[in-house]
Amino acid sequence: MALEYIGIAFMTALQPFNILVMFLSTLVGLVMGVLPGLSATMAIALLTGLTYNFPTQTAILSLLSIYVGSISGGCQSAILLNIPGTPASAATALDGHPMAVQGKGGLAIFLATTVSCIGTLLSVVFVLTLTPLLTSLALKFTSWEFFLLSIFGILICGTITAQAEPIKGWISGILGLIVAMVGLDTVDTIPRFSYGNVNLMSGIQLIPVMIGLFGFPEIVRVFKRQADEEVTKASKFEVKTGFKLIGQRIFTVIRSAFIGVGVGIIPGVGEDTAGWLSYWATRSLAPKEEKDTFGKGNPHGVIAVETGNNACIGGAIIPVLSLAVPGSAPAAVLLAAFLMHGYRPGPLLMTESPEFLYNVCVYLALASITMWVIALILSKATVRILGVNKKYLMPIVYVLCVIGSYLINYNLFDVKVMFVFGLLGVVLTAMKFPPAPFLLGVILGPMLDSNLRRALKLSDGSFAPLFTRPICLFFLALIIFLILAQLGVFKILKGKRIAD
Amino acid sequence: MKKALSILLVLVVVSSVVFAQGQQEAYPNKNINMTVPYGAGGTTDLTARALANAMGKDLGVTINIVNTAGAGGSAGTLNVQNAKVDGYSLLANGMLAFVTMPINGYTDKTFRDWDAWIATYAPNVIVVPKDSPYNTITDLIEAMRANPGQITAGTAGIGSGGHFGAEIIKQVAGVDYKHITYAGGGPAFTATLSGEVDFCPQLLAEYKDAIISGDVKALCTLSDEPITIAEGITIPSIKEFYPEVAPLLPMGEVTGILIPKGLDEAALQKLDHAFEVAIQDQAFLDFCDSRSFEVTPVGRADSQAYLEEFASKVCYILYDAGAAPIDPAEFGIERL
Amino acid sequence: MESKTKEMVFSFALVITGIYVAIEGFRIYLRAASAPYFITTFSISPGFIPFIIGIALIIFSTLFLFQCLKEEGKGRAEVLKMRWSEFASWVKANSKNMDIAFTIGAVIIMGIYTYVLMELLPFWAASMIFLIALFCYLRADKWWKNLIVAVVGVIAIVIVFQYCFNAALP
Repeated sequence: MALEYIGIAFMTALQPFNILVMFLSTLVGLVMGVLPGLSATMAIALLTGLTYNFPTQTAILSLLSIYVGSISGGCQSAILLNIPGTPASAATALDGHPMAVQGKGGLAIFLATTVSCIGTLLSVVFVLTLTPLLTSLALKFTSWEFFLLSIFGILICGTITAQAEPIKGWISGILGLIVAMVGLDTVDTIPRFSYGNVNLMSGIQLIPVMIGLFGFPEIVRVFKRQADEEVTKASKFEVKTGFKLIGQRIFTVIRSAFIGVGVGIIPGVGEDTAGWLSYWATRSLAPKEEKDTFGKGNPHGVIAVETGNNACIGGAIIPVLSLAVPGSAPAAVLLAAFLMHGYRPGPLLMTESPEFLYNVCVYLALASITMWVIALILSKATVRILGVNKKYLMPIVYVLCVIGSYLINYNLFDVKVMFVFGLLGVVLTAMKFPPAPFLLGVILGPMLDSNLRRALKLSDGSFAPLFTRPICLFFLALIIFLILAQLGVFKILKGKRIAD
Repeated sequence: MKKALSILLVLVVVSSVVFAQGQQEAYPNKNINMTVPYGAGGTTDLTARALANAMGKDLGVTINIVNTAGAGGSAGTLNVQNAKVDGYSLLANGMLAFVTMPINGYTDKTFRDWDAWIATYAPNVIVVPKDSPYNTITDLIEAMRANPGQITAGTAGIGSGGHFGAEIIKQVAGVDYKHITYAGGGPAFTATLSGEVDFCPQLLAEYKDAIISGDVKALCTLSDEPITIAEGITIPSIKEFYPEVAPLLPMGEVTGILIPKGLDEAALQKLDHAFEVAIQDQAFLDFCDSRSFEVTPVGRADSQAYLEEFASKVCYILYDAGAAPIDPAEFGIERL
Repeated sequence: MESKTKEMVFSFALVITGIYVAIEGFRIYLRAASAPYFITTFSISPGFIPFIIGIALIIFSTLFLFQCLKEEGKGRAEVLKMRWSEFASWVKANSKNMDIAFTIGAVIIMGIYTYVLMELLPFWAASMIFLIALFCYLRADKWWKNLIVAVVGVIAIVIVFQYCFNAALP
């Protein structure tokens, strides 16, 4: 039965018209991913309207291609410009941009694109085999677990990005949390830090903050009187080296895929968090002498992040299919599109339209392979475009930043917010405070706040459930270990033992 | 060179101002924007997209959906309210949030300042986890009376469709419940599946399939009539158990299209026609059927009277629950 | 200027931000505890997390401040004094630095575009004026070349967004 459905899905996807649509959609997704400020969520939302009148299968194929394309495209601007194209690729810039500075930009893009493809393919395998099992696992996450997960995310991000001085990373994360507090609170709808302004009551949008923090400092850097010709050079892909590197790191790839799928399934946390978690896992498991090379252009880091955030796609689709609950923000828009085209994902899917699961898997797999081909071709063009005079490039990038901020809610207020955070970003960069924990603070802040208070409300103000739930204990132990390790407690203990 | 540049700049400014004025032709002569004050993928958004597609076909232009989420749906509504009333910016909104905007202090204008077309009604359904000890609505109400303020209800937040459902249950039971709010209908439903909350009073559309598959148990609907969602699966109306609640029924989300008053009559009639065609459009009907929305069309002429009654009901439920700071009477909304 | 001095000034600002956030958090709690909400339990009040975050910011930035003030063989007060004079002289020296002034000028052009032009003009006109102005300010190339790049750039952006992606621009 299953094989038959897979066969039919392949036949559908490989009709000439559908192939054309798949190529175009992937290309559009990639371009949106590369442009700073146009996130995957927005790409799918904008194009859902366009696909409304497509035949159903073509529309679904097209939307999945856009999803894969936009998540993968973000790495190119992260590597070449140090401006992540989507929040999901913020961690890619960490090692990807140093690689580009060292003249290995081509290799970095090849690695990122290839593992993006592999990550998506691996996640498809998970969707096919483990959907029911993983869904029941995701249901074990209640308010307490979400609360701890958000703290954990900000902590590790702060630790990773400010290696010598984790305190800077943590402060940056706290600042992000403060920004996340602005607006009507999600539990009681009481305004916080909004001073009676209706725009502030809606809260600060994520994308303007991201563009401001990451994009603005890079744009401003060009504004000098003398022309310092630091041109992004097109380097070769080094296909052989690339495959060899991935082959050596096959365990990293598999581990990151696991993490990506896992994070994807949990509703509310998405591609961005998946990238950071994979990066952290890889770095902490690396041998001692290798640890210091992270953040300075270690290809290992790029591999981990890009596998993780792409594997998240399949993970996020799992609860969409089995519960009709999206696992990430882009998946939420995707769910809406499925509904609009007459499919009803959810518990009845396998009895009502069993072919749908296989369709989605086959389309995802084909889209990721298409993405690989097109992204590599496109990157040649990107490198050339990004290689033009920076004094031309950066003002135009700023115009794109303005559009990206505006399109979130069709509101000029968000553009102004972007500018303010841009100035803040310049200050933070000058002080060597990493902007990434700030961004993650803004992403995870509402989750931390509402889940803690919801959990306390459910338990009548008691913290006891924290210590009785197994997943909670696991996270608590990790968090405490992380803080103690950073404060040097373990080194002191070790030193004592030697002294004894 | 400086001179040439400044002349060019002036030219650009002047021509842009001229173009911005635009030229007058019969309505509609360009694409229409329909604002949905929620994110893509919600109930309102899906209904709006289905309607917009059908209406656009009749008007001969494309109706673009603009998702302007924020501040409980008021940000997008205010955008349309403040825009030029030229017929090119429409609002699609759920009436629960829309009619309660003034008593929440978001605006001074009420539904009486808008022209409205009502399209669909989606009833509340009370569901419990499948391993819940409650098998009928009476079990749940008795449990609430035995443990006042201890039974938890998971909803999509203050003023959401689920909140109104929970308030009606509260009026029936005569005791309070513990209100646990989530970021939306989806998370509230997941929390019900995992057993984090005792019951969930959201809209039927949000978990129809899970009821059919038996992942959650449906206790009753807040519709006037029992609803059959699949062969052999009928959800009873709460009226059958507690007849005294009948004046508050039917409760649920009502979705429609709105435009601030002031558009000329010719354009309004075009919209009237497009709306009538749209609610008979097969794709729209199929969509409503699959989501268990009832198509309950109320045209522009009758919508004011309909909203008057609806607003009185929901505004006072919200105000009495202590969730709205301003007395509806201040806006001339009478208790019926 | 030594980076430690900069960091010290910045951490001062952070501590003050932290104090403000904590106080504001407590005020939110007071507001939520009165009519019509009556949320009197502090831990489930909307002011709880802002208060905690404010306190955490105060703690971490104070720790950070002390890190900055550490110097071999000198007392804290002494270091503080030294840093302060360093900061004053840095401000003096840099106020005449042409490079920084130039960058600020460019940022001001971006600010005018964001806050003034976008409000007054349609998107394409505002962007065209902005690009031409900034290109010329940066002396990217000859003026007619700047003009062509700006016009072509804006037209390309408008076509891609308005017609390919079907997105309404301001």
